[in-house]
Amino acid sequence: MEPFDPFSRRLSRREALVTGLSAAALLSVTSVLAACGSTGTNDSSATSAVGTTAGGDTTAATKKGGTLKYGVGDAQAKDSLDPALALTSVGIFGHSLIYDTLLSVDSSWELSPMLAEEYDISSDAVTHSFKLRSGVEFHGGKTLTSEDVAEHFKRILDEKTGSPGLSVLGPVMDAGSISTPDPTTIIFKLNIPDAFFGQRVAHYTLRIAQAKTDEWLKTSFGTGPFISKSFRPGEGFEFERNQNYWQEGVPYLDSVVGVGIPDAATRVQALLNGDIHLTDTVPTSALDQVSGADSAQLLDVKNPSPYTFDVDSSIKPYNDPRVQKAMKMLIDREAMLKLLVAGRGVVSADTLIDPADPWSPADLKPFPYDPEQAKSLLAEAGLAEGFSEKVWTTTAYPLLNEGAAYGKQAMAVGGIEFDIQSVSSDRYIEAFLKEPIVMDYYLRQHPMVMFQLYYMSSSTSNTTRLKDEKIDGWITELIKTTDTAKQAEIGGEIIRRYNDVAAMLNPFNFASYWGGAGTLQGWTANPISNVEIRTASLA
Amino acid sequence: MAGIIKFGGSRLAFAVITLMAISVVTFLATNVVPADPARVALGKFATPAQIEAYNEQQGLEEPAVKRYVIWVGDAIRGDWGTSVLSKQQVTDMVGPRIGRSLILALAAMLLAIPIAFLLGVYTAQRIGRPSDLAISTVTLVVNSLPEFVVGIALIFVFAVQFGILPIESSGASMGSGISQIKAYLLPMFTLTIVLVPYITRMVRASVRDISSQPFVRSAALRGVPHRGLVWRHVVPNASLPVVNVIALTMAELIAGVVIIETVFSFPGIGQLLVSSVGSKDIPVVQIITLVIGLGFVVFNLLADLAVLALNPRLRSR
Repeated sequence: MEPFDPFSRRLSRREALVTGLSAAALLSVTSVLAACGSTGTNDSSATSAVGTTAGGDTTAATKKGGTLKYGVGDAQAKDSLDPALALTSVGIFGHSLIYDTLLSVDSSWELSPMLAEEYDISSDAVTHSFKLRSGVEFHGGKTLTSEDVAEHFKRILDEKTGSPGLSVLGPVMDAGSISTPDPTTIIFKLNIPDAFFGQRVAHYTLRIAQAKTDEWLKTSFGTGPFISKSFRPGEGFEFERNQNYWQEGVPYLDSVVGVGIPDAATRVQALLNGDIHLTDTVPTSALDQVSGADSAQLLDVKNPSPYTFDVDSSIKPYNDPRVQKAMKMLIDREAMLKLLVAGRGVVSADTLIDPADPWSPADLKPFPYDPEQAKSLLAEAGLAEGFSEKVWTTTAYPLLNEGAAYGKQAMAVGGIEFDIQSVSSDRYIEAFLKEPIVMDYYLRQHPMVMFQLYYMSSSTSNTTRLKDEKIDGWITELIKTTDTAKQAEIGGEIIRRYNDVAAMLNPFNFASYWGGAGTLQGWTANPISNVEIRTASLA
Repeated sequence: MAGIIKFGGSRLAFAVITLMAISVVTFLATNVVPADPARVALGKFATPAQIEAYNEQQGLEEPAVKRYVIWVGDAIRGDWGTSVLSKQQVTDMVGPRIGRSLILALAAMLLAIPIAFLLGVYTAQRIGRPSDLAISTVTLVVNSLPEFVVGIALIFVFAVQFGILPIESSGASMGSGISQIKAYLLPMFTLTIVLVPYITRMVRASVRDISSQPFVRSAALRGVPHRGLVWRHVVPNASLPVVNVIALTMAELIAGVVIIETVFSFPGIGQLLVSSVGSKDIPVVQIITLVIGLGFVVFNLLADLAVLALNPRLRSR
């Protein structure tokens, strides 16, 4: 076994297997919710806008202490301290303060040690071994052992728990896959090879809680940098610094108080007023206000989201490559980007993969805006007179109606009439995987995960219903491939082919911005929790 | 005495019947919404076996009448069930919020009543004068404004411009000491401003009506000083019709705080109702609806009893 060196920036072959990948991924195997779970703000990590920060200034003198007040946008009654049931902002961000995962992942999809200080993968990608950091204690004083990890994974795998993490682990393992030869070693012998298992364990439901916990609301059961002092579902929480945290010197803050503020405008104003120091997604309409304020800053969380028209590739006329290409060429992507999100984002090929992500071919460009050629292609396909189609959208999620309206105007040039159906969120969700065209946007996840969820013929989340044997075969090969160069090669081919054969329209990708007080420093972007504040402080 | 008992008994009986009717309507309304409680509780990926087990565990397969009887019985015994989302006892979720909403409503009312009485009595003595016209116009305008407009205006002035009060009121549950008190102030001022015009106009009309009564003229002719005439003879008598108005307004406040709580992110019963309706957390919605209904019934009953106590003619019937 080659140990995973947490402190080395040079990767061994095996270490490289887990590099550049993420488990954030699998976060929502449901295309519907995954695709719509984030509120719409914009920008791209590739084009970080003026007035934003992409991580705290760690060079500035760090002031320790203080209480950070976090305005929670979607505090809900279903909020829980059980990491297996994390689903809302409190779970996805708040749990990162009181729990740790075996491995953590950064915005470049690189894995690093957390509770596991060593990680080894067998050459066939079936056996994954983790050596736990010694001396780590839960908040109640109990020492972390492999049994705690095993029980947590088994809870996730138990259908009765109802954890979204089941869709992360279920495809590759079951409870019988786990063994604990000693208190600091845990081994997963998977049912199928998975070179990307390291990313799965960084998923937000796989933050390790103390075994045999059931009173989630009454005390704190993690190993994380903060200890829960009070937790009120739908209202907020109060976390205090864990004086006994295994990572020396952090956290810098004395405490974090979360308060539920459902209204986005109120959250923004509270941030500008200094009533709170951190808030989740800043609405598009307030981006300039926050970036222009002395008392606040935009935090680029580096999670660009693909904005799309999900088009059914399996039915006429969208299964005709000429029609697909014509529709792609009728969209002026630059203009749409400027109109919808004031240029805060990056134009994209129709792939769902951000140009800055691993495996995205550098030379892959989106189809050019060329209405004349589009008309020719439609004429070749026997659609010179055009056709009409319903486009499903909703006001329940931001920007979708605006995109549909833009699409209607753009497609009309080629004679395609979009009949916009703006419906309730329930009806909109029903339209997924049923209606020919649905407005949508996706959460950024690692390319491998995006492939499995949205490219594979067999996936129940394949929003374009594309069935392509080549893509399926390449994905099956990729998941077993441990050679990083080969991974990049296969991954690149998959992305290119999807751009060519799927009816997906993905004009641009935008990223979420969180809002931070002007005094907030030392934070980092994180693809799982969005913002990491272990080393954050208030100047 | 017999009259009092008869009157009180009939009002109490009417209150119980009203509550029963509210419980039936609430149960029916929350059982015909297009949401599968099991699906809400277990998520969209729940298997049929899980859903079946949940329905059996929660008694959802029983006939509606039997479920209603069980639900009402449990509610009366204080067993308000469990939230399908948070798995918390509904009592634990709703209890503290009822307290906060009541404090907010009562504080606003306690502030609004003396202000409204002062303005009402003052203007009633100056009918047609510029000060009466000015106050009447202002109260009419403010009375026409939706609550959220008043709330936003106060936020703009006190939170945004002067920065002396928090823009949102989460501190009512998550804060302590001064920050907790501050969290109540803007919602309370908003409710007060919304309440004052209506009560003022009622007081003004009532005082004016009583002032024209013979016993007031008689007292004036006896040489009772003006201040004593107003506050000892006119206002107590003018208060009787206003008591009912205040009680009804208080009952409406319990429900009306929904908007104010949403504007200020105030962690009260209204905010929980809105979020629970949105997430189809039926047990919570049912209990909050019952509690609001109970508020209406109780305050109406109290108003009737207060009028009975204050009005000798009713007592002697």
